[in-house]
Formats: sequence, C-alpha cells, structure tokens
Amino acid sequence: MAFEIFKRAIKDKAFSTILIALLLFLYIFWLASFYPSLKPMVSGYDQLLQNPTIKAFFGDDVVSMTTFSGFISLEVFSYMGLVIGAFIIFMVASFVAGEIEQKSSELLLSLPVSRENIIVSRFLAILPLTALIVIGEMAAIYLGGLYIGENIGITWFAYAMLFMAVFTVAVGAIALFISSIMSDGKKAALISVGILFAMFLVENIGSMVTSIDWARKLSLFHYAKISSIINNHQISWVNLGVLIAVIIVFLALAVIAFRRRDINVS
Amino acid sequence: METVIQTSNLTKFYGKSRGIENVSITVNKGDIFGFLGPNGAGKSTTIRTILDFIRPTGGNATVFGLDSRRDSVAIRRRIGYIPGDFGLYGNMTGWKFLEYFGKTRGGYDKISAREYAKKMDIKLDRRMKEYSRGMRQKVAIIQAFMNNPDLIIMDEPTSGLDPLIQQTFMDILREKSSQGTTIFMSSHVLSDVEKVCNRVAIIKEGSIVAEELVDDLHKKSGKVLEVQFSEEVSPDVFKMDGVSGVTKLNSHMRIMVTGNLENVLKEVSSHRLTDISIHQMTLEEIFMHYYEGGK
Repeated sequence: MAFEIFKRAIKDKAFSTILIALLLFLYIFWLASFYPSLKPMVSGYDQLLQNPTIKAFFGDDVVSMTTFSGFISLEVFSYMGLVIGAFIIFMVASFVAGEIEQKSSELLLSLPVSRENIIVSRFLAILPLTALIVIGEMAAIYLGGLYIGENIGITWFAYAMLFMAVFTVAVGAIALFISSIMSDGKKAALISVGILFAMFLVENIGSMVTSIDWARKLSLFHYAKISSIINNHQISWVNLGVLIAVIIVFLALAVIAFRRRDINVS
Repeated sequence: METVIQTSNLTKFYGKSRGIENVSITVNKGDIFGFLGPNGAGKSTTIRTILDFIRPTGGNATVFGLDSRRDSVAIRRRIGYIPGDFGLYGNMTGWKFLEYFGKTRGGYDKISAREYAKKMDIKLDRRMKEYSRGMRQKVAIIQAFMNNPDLIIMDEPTSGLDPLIQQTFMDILREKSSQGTTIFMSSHVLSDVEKVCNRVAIIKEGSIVAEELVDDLHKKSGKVLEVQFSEEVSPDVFKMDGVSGVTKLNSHMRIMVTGNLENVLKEVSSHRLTDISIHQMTLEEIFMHYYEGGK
C-alpha cells in the first residue's frame, strides 16, 4: 500500500464524510425521538405497508412498527443502503475516472507507485470512511433509544451495522471497478448509481414477483438483510461471505483493468 | 556515453489510427534533448509510452537500461515529469501538493521546493483552483525538479510562462544539465530549444525524420540566401540541384540551399541585386524544411 496516497484519499474525503455522518446521525436521532408520539398510530401504518405498491419499494419482509427496532428498520434501513451506497459511489468515482477527467492522472502516474498500489490504497481509504458513517448511525440509534427510553438490542444493531458496512464497501468495490475502466467521473458515478438502484428494485420487486425471484441473487441488497438481523435476530454468515467475495472479486477486477489500460489525457 | 532513454521501433496504434510508428531515439546522460513536431505528430504519445502511461503496440523502450513497462516503478523513482496538459488538485494549496508529491516520492525536501518557488517567483499558499495557467505550470515545474531526479521529461514545459520566467527556466535547465541531469523536452518554441538543447529529434506524422546534435543539424541542413534583386527575376531560375526551396515576396527572394552554393551564387550574380545575406538555417527553418517535405 502507498501510505501517502491512502492518507491523501482520506484527507480529501474526510470533510464530506464527516458531514454525511453528522447529517445521518441527526436524521436518525430525530426520527427516533418522535417514535413515542407515533407509536399509538402504528397499526394504521402497518395496514398501509401491506399495500403491494409500497411493498415493491420496501420489500416483502416489511416488519411491524409496533417495536422500536421495527420502526427503525423500516424508516431507516429500508433505504439506507441506497443513501450510503450512492455517497460512496460518488466518492469512489473520483478515484480513477475523476482523476483522468480532471487531468491530474498523468502527474499521479509519474509517481513511483504501481497502479495496483494506487487502486488498493484508495480502496483501503473507503474502509475508515465507511466505518465513520456506520458508527455514526449506530450511535444515533443507541442515543435515540436512550432518549426515548426504549430498550434496544444493541448487539443485533451492531451486527446489522457490520453487514451495512460490508455492503457499503462491496458497493464501493463495484464502483471502483467501473471508475477504473472509465475516463469520466460523472458518467462512472451515474452508471454505478444506476446499477445500485437497479439492484435495489430487483431485490424488492423480486420478493413480490416470483418469476424474477432468481434475479435477487444478483443484487447486493439480497445479502444485506438488515431488517432480518434487527427484528428476527437471524444472521447469515454465508451472506456476509458473499458480500466479502464481491469485494475481493471487484477489487481484483479494478486492479487488473487499471493495470492494463492506457491512460490518455486529451 | 551512458544511454538514459532508448526506444527501438516504438509503435502505438489506437485501433487503426496511427499514434507513432517505429520511433527509435537515443538520449544520453547529460543531454538536453529537444523533441520537435507539430500537434498530432506523436510527441506526447512517445512520452506517454516511455513513461508507461500507454502501452506500445510494437517495439520497446528502456530508461536507465530498465524496461519501461516491467520496471516502470523503478524508473519513476529517478524521474521528474511535467505533462503537456494537466490539472492539479484544486482544493490543495501549492505547498500541500508539493509536500504530498515529495513524500510519495520518498522524501519532501522543503528547502529545495522553497528555492524553486523563489526562482519561479510564485507564492504557493493559496488553493490551486485559484491559480492561473502560468502558476499551474510553475507548480508542475517545481514538483518535477525539487527531488533532484536523474532524468526530467517535459511536454511543452514553457507554455503559459512569461518571458522572464522562461529565461529563468532555461537557466535552470542549463544548470541541471551541467550537474549531470538528463533533460528530455518536447516543445513548439523552437527558439527555446535552440537556446538550450544539444540534441534534437524531429517527429513527423508519427515517425522520426531527423535525430542529430543541434550543431550537426545546422551544418547538414545548409544555408539560406536572402537576396534583394533590383530587376525582375523568376524563382524558376533557381530550380537546380542543391536548392531545396525558393520563396519570393516582391523583389525579395529566399533560397534554401542544401547542396553546393557555387552554382546558386553564379545564378544570383548574373542578375542585378541590391542586397544579399547568407546564414545557416535556424532550427525553425530546418524544422519547416522537414515539414514542407524538403527531406
């Protein structure tokens, strides 16, 4: 690993990551804080959530909001993968394609660092930045629960956050691969976001429409069952293994693609 | 003499489109090597291939005797590079950028960076997104020189620099060369190349058409006669062996002679004239000579 490149990537992205972590912390804490006033009305919400159109967005494993965990998993984690995933994608798109687009890639490549090292160092920078966001979410749930006097199963939330973090890094690895084969940061980001959104829809619509159920296996969301961990206390280590395998495969593809390609600034 | 850069039949095609073809050049230790050619001739493609930014479709290149592809990291430990068209990290200050590059190269020499910043007359405290084209060029120059590399490769290094700084830059090049640093530069500014380079190569449509010591190139390339006639003379009378080109503007004629001068002078003296001068071709004239198909 090229430590200076790793350090620079973290410094470059620290401000935006701290900002998003803070915003998500405040948002989740704010959501948690009004759960007590919402609790008397949750039966109505639960009925509403049985609507197939809503299920197509939130997925079939919609949980009841009668518990704080159910409320958080529905109001926060049903779409949080999209939010954090999109943030990581925009961050990662600048790592290679963005660098070529802003014409700094030749200066970077003139440094005595192999292309493999550049990719790996920048990929590793995703890890602490993702951890910061996920720890912020965890803290918001815990403090929000304390604030409203709800007893939460912190261990299961911690497992859920572990899955969320690994899922986010897997999204980052796919985005890094796309960034490695492109020369336009914005296009790379939009394509990655498109893929992320398609995976989100495939997982949720696939849970409702049996004819495309097979396609759910192609979606990263299928392997990050946050709701199932928080509410049913079910953990699939196989799913975690699949996410880790996706990280390894796409990181390797990113390295190979970046090592083989011509870097032409024009 | 120690060879620093050697390319053998280096070729790069982008699909069916030609980048460079069979480029073979040799740059020796201590050379200030000028690489000349107009836009699209293949200068940047050659440089990028040597630096392993793009991969050749044929031939090979060595730098310090090392393979440009296999040993590219080892090579880059010993070089500084100024790209022709580049962007900087806009949110960083110039100092932070130099520190980042210096440390990534293995050590940031703050004193050296400050010395070059002083020579280039630039303040580096502001974020680089506020820099002008000339200021960005100065930053690129400083980062290439500050680690005291054995070889500096530059693609159009003087673009954006004002004449005073260009002069300072030329002085730096001479100083570095005298200390044993090898310089490889592409440029459109032929007068600059003529001032500092001891060897040049001319690239035309992707192929090398000349590679010589600048002095030898001058000697081989012949002379230019500038003649002011006081009678009407047709340029056709100078269509003879050894004359590679004649241009006429009113009574003034410019005759490029690459062969024996005697016959040309005999023809000139058979007409009435008011003025005549003979000088060796400048690098610009040699360059134009090659590009007008004279050789």
